[in-house]
Amino acid sequence: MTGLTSAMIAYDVDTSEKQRQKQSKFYGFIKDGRYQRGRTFFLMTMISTLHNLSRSLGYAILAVVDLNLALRFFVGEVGANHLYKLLRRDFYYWVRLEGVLSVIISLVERTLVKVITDFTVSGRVRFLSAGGGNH
Amino acid sequence: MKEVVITLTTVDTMTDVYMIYLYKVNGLHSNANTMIAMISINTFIQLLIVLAQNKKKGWRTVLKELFITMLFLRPFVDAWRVHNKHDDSETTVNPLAAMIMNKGIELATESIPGCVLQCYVLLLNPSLGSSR
Repeated sequence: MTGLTSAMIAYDVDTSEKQRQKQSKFYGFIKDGRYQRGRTFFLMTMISTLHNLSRSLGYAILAVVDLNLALRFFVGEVGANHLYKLLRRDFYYWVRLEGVLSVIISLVERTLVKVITDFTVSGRVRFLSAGGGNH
Repeated sequence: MKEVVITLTTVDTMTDVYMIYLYKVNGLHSNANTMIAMISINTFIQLLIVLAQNKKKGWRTVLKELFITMLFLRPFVDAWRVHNKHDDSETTVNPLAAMIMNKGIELATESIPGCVLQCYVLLLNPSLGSSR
């Protein structure tokens, strides 16, 4: 189900006419044509599902051995990503907010995107303001 | 294709509830509570998104949208609006962006952590996966 949802996100955005008109160089990796679309969707679902299974199982094994170690690993992984974004002055998300709220929303958004990128490699989050090089 | 995906994402909530029930029946109360917490966080963030999405609208519309989210019908309604090219100039973002946001939140706060939790529980209790 996770793989399917991830593939659906990438599929819906990439096949959107508006998005293709706005950023024709970025969107459009799913070729037009019934069979091509179906095949790409199936492959995206499989990639996301298998990647999610391998990561989830890895985290679960780590948690069985030492739950605190798994939590520390997660915090370290996400923290390193946030630090990288901060150093590049790219931490704030595109939603225009001010003060503490902007920090909270950016923190939540960056964490969610990091989790989605790491576990599903969704094609949607590969653009620079989201996953970027991390993807 | 679209209809299958809409149906599958809607029944996803039912499988989550069944999972909580199974954990409770097998005495895994802390794991069941963890799953409930994940679903609660997902719903809470989606409710905030609904408020932001409909901030220009009246309280009746906001209440209706909040109700849709609390009944776990959000994936179905979002997909329906995108499919029918629903256009509303008063909402903050278009239906496609709203659907992507809600799906992303669901993935990161419920589906992925749920998958890790399920693997963790199955590794600790291998008998859960077999019929007894």
